[in-house]
Amino acid sequence: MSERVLVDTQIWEYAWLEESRGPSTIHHQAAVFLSGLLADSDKEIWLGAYQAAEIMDVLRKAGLSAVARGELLDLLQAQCVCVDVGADVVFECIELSLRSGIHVYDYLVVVPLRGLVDVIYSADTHFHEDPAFRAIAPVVNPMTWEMREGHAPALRAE
Amino acid sequence: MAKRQSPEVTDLPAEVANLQPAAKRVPRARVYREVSPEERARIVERVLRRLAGPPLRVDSATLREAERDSV
Repeated sequence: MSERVLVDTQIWEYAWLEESRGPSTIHHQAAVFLSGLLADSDKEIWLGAYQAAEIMDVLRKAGLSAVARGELLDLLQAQCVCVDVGADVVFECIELSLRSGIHVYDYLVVVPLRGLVDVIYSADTHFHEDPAFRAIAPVVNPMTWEMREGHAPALRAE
Repeated sequence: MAKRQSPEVTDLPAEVANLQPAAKRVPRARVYREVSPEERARIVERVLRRLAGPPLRVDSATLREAERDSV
């Protein structure tokens, strides 16, 4: 049976982008990791409908061409498994955010996938801080870097 | 986590006031667009080629602005 995986938005983002003054390893690792998942027939990438919009829009704002974004949209629509996001989930996310102080968008990426994925791949430090994320599925950072809201990705301390 | 109470609403039309709350729905998961296996392979291959090529280089200020409030 295929492994169902959720890939957090910053890994999608840095698979396409490189910060001009950042270490190239951040882009390289994200691109290699995502390519490996896409090439592995035993992996299924799952995402909520909100996250599809988040991925597409962060790449738009960063300046990725419409052609490249169109190719990615084809991938999200035809290759990945997409989950509807309804009002119940949105309000649960708002309440979780209210409790933790973490922005609601991180919860909107993860909570719709409750009971549906085997692992969450994320380099976001929030995902390792609030147990609410781990309650959805085990959280693994496959990168040697991490990032948090409003800051550039940084290599993790050994 | 307990749900907060909705504000009291009065003077609703009878057909609205008698509506039952929607049942909690099971999330619907699907591949959004069905394509042939050949077309899907082409879509994946195109993205893999893109990922293997040079990335878009973006300055820090633009990236932080792009990530603001979501990533």
